[in-house]
Amino acid sequence: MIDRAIVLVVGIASLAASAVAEPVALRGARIMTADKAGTIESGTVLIDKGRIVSVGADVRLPAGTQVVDMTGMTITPGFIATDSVIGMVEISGGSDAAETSSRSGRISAGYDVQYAINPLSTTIPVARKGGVTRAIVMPNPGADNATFSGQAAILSLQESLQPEIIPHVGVVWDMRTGAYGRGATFVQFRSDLADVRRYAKDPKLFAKGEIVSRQWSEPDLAALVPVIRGEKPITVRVDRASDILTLIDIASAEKIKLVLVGAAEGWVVANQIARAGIPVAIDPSDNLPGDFDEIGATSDNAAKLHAAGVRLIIRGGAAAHDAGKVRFFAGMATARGVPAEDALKAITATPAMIWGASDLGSIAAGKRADVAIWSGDPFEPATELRGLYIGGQEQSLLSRQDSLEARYIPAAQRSAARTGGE
Amino acid sequence: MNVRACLLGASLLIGLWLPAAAQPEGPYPSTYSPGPSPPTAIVGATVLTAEGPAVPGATILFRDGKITAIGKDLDLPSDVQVIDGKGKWVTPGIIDIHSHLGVFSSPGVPSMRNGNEKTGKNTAEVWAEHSIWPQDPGFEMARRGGVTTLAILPGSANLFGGRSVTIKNVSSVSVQGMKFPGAPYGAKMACGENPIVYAARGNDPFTRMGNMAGFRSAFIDAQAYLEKKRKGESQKTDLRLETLAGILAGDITTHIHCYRADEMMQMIDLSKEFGFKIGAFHHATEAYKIADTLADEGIGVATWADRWGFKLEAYDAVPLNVAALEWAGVHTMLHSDSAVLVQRLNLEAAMAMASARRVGEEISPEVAISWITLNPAITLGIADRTGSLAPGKMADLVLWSADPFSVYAVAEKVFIDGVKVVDRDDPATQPDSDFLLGQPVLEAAQ
Repeated sequence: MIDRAIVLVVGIASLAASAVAEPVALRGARIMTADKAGTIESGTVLIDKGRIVSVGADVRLPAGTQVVDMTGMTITPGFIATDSVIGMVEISGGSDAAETSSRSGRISAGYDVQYAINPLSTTIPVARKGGVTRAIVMPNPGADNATFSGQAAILSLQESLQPEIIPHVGVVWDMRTGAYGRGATFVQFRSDLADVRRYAKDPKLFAKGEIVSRQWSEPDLAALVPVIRGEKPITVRVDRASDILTLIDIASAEKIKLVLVGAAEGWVVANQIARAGIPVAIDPSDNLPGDFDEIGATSDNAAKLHAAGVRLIIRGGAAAHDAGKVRFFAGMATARGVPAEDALKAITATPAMIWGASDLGSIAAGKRADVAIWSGDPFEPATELRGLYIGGQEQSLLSRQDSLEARYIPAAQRSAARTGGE
Repeated sequence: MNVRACLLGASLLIGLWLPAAAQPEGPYPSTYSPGPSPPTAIVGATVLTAEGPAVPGATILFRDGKITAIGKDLDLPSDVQVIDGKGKWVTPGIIDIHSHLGVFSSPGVPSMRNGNEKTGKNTAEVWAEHSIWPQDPGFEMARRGGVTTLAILPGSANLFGGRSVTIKNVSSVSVQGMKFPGAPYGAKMACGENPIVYAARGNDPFTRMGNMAGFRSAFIDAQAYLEKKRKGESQKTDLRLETLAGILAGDITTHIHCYRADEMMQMIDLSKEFGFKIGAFHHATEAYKIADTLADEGIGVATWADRWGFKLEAYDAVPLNVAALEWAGVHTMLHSDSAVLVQRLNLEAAMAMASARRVGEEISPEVAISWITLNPAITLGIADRTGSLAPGKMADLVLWSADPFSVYAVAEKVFIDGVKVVDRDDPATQPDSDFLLGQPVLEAAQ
């Protein structure tokens, strides 16, 4: 009897799941694919088993497809928040409710953000309301002035205690110029990479005590092996033009895949960055000389990098709480001259590809079905998010903020009553 | 649709805002006077005046730094410079009622962190204007975002952070050359986490009850000081008590940094205990919980569209806060508190409008523009001269490339007292800030 009861419950659960998993066609929308198809003025996206089956102006639908009329809507890939600490931070300051870095001097490059993420953070539903479906979660520099911050992961913002997390998608290195000075930090970096190469050839050298560039832990060395093999990118936060040139030289000599984050003075050396094929993640609102490494900060950075042919990633709202605003940062870049379709790629397909998840970030056959449905231009504040799918599953668009609004604000109560009555 | 905008106009006529009268200049007086400017007409734009309905296809005329006419089919005097505004929008210059430009300057090196005196819980004696670095490149960036007037505040690390100052966002070698002539002074107060967290170890306040005791003790001293002053009894001038007595006398507007609803209620009781008026709660992320009380008390709120979660007291912030306050009849404003956000206060307003639409209700552009123009002007006591577009007012205005509530809108031209201070069509690109002038990196590209 007890066994049968359990089977019954499981049966209901899988029935619900299969109901969601039947083919769904979103029909009649303007589709910004962030892929080769560009923008389809009126088309259909067919989703089945968590993936996009086909997309186009004219899509043949299998029998049993649930068709949803999306006339007047705009569909985009779900957005990707790059260089985010979402899930690692509940409250940023003064509340012991944030872990964004290693607190142990023993673990630096090996620091693994997947364990720091709380999938039940209130920041995640808020980000979903901005159309964000995935985040490239990156650690900040850790204890004892460690230069390697740790390993990034791609977090799915789905409603789940066990969301899909793709761990170890790259390593973050911090220059720590303030602690060490440039003359030391770049020399140390190359010495560290030499150690990792020796370790990669013969891991036993570690036990023999022959890996001595610094006080390594074995997880740190292991995390860097895919970096020196050029299999995974290493991300560097950098602003000064001369530092960018130094990093381009090092990346070329070491044959490592570099990603620059920040790059306030990137426009000054845009051609060199483009020639080296190095992607750059920038915040289009970063236009003030906040310190002497970014005297050249300008609102035109995104447009100039784009014009030079640099692969652009747009980040913005670096705080976990502001991840949902990345669409406005894409809009700001467009206002300054980055074409809208390229600004869209900069918050979808480009970061997905760079961190090794090429089946995320665009609307094309075979890709994961992360899609956002908008009432209009996705970059405009006035536009509303009408629906969000992650891996083919429709997501809740309610957050703790909606509960607070419904408790205190009459207009929110009226709205909740209307939608509840539907 | 514009019932509220009309009411707003009516309230202006009866002089709702206080204190409205320009105050006589004290020490460190303003030396600002606008430079010459040609008589100008912007023709064909949609004009949001912040005083009434939007006027599509309007002409706005200004001369000698003052607006002279707004309307359709105006006769243009022969001597005016004409700017084509077709397809574009004109709004009053944006006013940021909570800025730290010049006191926390770029570059943010330690010696330029001049906004928090923080040597004790009460530093009401300091004046923000004595910290302002006029070469802060942030002023120019804010100008390019359409900001023409700013309230520069000290604090909020302690209970009384000092005096604020209202400035015109013009390029000047001295802060005296930026001071808004005759604008009343403000004072910054802070409740909640900051005074506790930032208090030096071993100093009070350690708790929120310590905060309240600190406020009350200070005002008890100020009452005695003010009473002696009123009786004409001789006493040594005390800079700290001068500011506090100015609050009690109603000469100095209070800007109170406060996030939580329960703490705002405590501050309202504090104001009643000592008989002073609260000008505005700043940040006030929980104001929506007490919107009716704030409306009844006539207390303004200056906040963001939806910043939240950066500390525990900001955990309950909601994106519908601004709209809820507007609907409850609260005097509502948006502020930046940031050298970056100040450059896009129009988008903050757009985000707050969008939150209203999300629950199925609309807030008009006419109302939303007042959050960042007329309403802060009223709280700052300068609404008789700026903050809206009307004949006789200062020609502080912005020509936007598009609807200012669009992410794609850029401030193409900005005028302060009729003088063009931003012009995106002008290829002359020398920075205004001496700090950026001649920097090799700005000339090094490729």
